[in-house]
Amino acid sequence: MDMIVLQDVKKMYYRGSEELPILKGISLNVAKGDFVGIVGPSGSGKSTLMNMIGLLDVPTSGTYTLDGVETERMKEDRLAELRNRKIGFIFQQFNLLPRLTAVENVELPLIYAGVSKKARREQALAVLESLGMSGRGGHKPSELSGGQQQRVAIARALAGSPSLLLADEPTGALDTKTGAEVLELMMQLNEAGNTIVLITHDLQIAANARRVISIRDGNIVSDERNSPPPAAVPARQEVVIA
Amino acid sequence: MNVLELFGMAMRTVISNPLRTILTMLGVIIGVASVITLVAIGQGTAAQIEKQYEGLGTNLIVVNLLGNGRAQQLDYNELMQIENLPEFAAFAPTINKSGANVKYDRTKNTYTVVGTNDRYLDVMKAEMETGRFITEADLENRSQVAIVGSTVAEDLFGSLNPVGEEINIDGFVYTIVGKTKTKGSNSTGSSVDNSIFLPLVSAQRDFKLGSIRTLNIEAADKNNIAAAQSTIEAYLTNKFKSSDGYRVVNQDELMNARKEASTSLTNQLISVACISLLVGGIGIMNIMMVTVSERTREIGIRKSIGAKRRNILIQFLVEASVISGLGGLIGLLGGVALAIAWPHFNPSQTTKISMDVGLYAFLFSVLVGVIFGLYPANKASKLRPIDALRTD
Repeated sequence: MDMIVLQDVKKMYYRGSEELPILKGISLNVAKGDFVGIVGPSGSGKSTLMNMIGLLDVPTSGTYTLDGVETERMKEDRLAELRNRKIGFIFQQFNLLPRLTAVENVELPLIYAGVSKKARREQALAVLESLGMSGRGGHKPSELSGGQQQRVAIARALAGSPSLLLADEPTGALDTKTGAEVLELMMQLNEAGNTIVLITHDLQIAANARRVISIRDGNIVSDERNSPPPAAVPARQEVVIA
Repeated sequence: MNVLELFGMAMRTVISNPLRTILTMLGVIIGVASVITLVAIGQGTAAQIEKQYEGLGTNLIVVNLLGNGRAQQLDYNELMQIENLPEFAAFAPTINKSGANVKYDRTKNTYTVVGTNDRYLDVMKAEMETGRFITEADLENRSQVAIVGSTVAEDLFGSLNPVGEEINIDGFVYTIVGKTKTKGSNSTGSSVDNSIFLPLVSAQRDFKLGSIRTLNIEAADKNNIAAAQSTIEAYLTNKFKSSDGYRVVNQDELMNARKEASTSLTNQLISVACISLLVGGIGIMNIMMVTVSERTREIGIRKSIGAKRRNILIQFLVEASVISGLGGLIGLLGGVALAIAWPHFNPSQTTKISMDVGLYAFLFSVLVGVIFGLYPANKASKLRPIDALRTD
């Protein structure tokens, strides 16, 4: 069973009476354990596609099945629950809450999952430690470097043990070196069994993925595989990066 | 997330911008503090009024005769027959002459002269300091005796014992046989201390005062003043063939009328204070609207991570009620402090702090936060995650 199954997904936006198709019928399967890069220039529809995959927006038509769950006609709160359980978001701007400390930010998805205070603190600290951020848990985002902030954001995405990591230009706000490190981290996370979808406008970054899908004007224009998907999906392991 | 954690999270947000929080709270603080202070002043005044009337006895009924006609004269002996009815404990009819010229030695002054009977002292809850009051024998003999109030005694005799001295009242000589204890002025304005008491008949004869003008009645049963009141009313109406010629008031009515006046004034002030609470609520709503639009991105992040509408709604509602509740608490403390300090600045007034009212005012302020937080919180909870994430 594939992690993501999109079937003829269309998205229309309406400006007055004018109908603007953003996605013109996307069909796409992503295997469990795969690392897919989606590239396209701005305006290609890749962000809209990401919103669909991330359950932040719903398609005008077509179906989307995530990890075996059919998502069409789902109510807002049900979608929120599914996002909480199945998706870990990694944003370009990190999107950490500035008033909370690193560990509190990592705890957020666990709060909404209803994990008890003690358990979620332990879990959050463990994830931070596995990403080489132990000792930084008490820092506010403003006290951390961009790379560190993105690691906290990745820790937050991983905290709820989601089925899918969804990264939107995760290196976009970082310098080349730090960006490369974050990318390396994501590859390691994939090796460890996490399914990753990475959205970027940068072909070079996308080239790190096992499979690269190009999208333009709301259609998939190419679909190339760099390396095979893991034959058997290993049970997700804890990643420890020194 | 449990209530305590929600509360803690809201506290942190609220404290992170202290100036704004204080300014937002101000309306609620002022509202709650003024409600508590005003209620304390109002209840203090009511207690004061009650105390004033307590001195008179609550079973006192006062009958004032209004007309001057012959038809509206009361006969003393007939009155004293009625006094025997079980509803009544004692009748003390009076006639007054104010501004009588009183001379003793070289001292001259004007006082109110009251002609009455032997029951007067009991009915008015006054006491003798030295000597005796009017007796039945004085009434029968039309004795030329006088009892002076404490102020009169001091004016005329200083520290000397007035008993046995003779004074001249409008040309008639009276022998002083007693002096009353200082009582202070009562609610009706008349003062025992400032009066000279004479046997009713002597006063009628010497000063041409005519018929009885006022009848002070002590009801037999404190809890059934109404019975005594209706009996005397029935008697007077029957005698005068009309209910227009007299007015009957009891102390309860007088006290309640004064209390009511004071309460209605207090209530008006309290409603002004409540308006301040309302305005405070609008202030909270205003700031919560600003907060929601400032934190659109936060809402988007929380929603993308899995916050449901309910989570966001509760988060902002708790924040609004923490602001108003904190304001209510500060207002409560401020109001109590003000109520305690008030009598020091206004020595004639007392305050009585009511913890009930404090609690209600506090709860009301929290409610104000919830009500006025509802709209902004609902607005926040309805934001779509993609729209919320898009804003910077």
